[in-house]
Amino acid sequence: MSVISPIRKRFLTGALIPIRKIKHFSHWEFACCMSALMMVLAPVGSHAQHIQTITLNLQPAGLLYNVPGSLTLTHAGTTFAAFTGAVSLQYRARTSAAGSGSITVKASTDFPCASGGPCIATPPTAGDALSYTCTGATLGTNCTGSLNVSAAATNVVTIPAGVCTGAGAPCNNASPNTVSVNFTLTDDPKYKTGTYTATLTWTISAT
Amino acid sequence: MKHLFKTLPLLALILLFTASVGAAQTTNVTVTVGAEASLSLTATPLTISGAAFSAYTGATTATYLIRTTKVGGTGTINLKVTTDFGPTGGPSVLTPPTAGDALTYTCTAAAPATGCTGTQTALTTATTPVATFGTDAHALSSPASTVLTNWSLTNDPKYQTGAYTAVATYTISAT
Repeated sequence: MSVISPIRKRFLTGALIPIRKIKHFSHWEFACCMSALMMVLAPVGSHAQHIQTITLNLQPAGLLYNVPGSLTLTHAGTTFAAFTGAVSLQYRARTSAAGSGSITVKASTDFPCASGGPCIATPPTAGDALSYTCTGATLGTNCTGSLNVSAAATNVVTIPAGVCTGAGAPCNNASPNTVSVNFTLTDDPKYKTGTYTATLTWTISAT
Repeated sequence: MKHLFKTLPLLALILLFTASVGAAQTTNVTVTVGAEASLSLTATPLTISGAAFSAYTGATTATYLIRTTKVGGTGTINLKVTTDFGPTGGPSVLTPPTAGDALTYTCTAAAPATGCTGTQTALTTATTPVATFGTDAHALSSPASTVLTNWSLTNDPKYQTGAYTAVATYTISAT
């Protein structure tokens, strides 16, 4: 440091300015050299105390990810047995001590009802439905019983207060958390043959 | 140097994790509805309904569900005697005791089915028609859709007395 400090002092006082007079030594190159020099010298010559206070203000949060973009419902068994299929959702959540959370699903786009196939909003026959059950939630509580998908959001998982995703304390559960949602669609003979698609929207919330 | 390397001011780094409502994600749910058909049967024994040696008669009701392809689809209900009458000494579909002895039937059907035409003779060697369906046919569970098979069996004096049983197998198909 005894060698470097005088050089730095000379630089700071302008004693090294003549280097700029070297032929072909441009302003840009000069600036680069000086910046690099500063980075080398600064930590060596400084004795200042650096104080960093890091404040984490962790708010309730929820995240759904790896949600399957598509699900194909298929026949399981005899003719006119319901179409079935399942998706597995992965999620992370953190709720406050007095908060709660949930995962919900809704039909954001119905089957093309006018085509004569299945229809969530106005089923061809009373009792036709796209329904689901929830199993294996690793954080929170599965939805209760069989629920019908509708244009309004319906429950998939209820997340209690003061919980979080993660192995070990304080969360003490899986990471990520998962839940399986098992769908059933009535196979009504009224449906016209064809391929029909609806879009489900999943939402996670936490307070 | 102090003007360049003065003590850093208090650095407050606030990591704010918001998103009390997470971003929504979507799944497209797709189902392919194909042609399908199913049926169930109820039958009554064949009995004499008139004078002596008049034919034995009875009926089988086929309750069915069907969906045929909306363009170019078809459907059928057929039957075949898969087990001939037994025990021996009585009527027989395959080897009638007397020429002309036969197990025959007519069909009664309503839309979307079209019943078989005229009188059909049941066979052990081939299927015979009961009903047909056209394109984009739909038969629901409520109200139930049925096709009636009206049986008639020659009452040949050659038959030995006794109870005889045959099995007719119905097949429904849809495309």
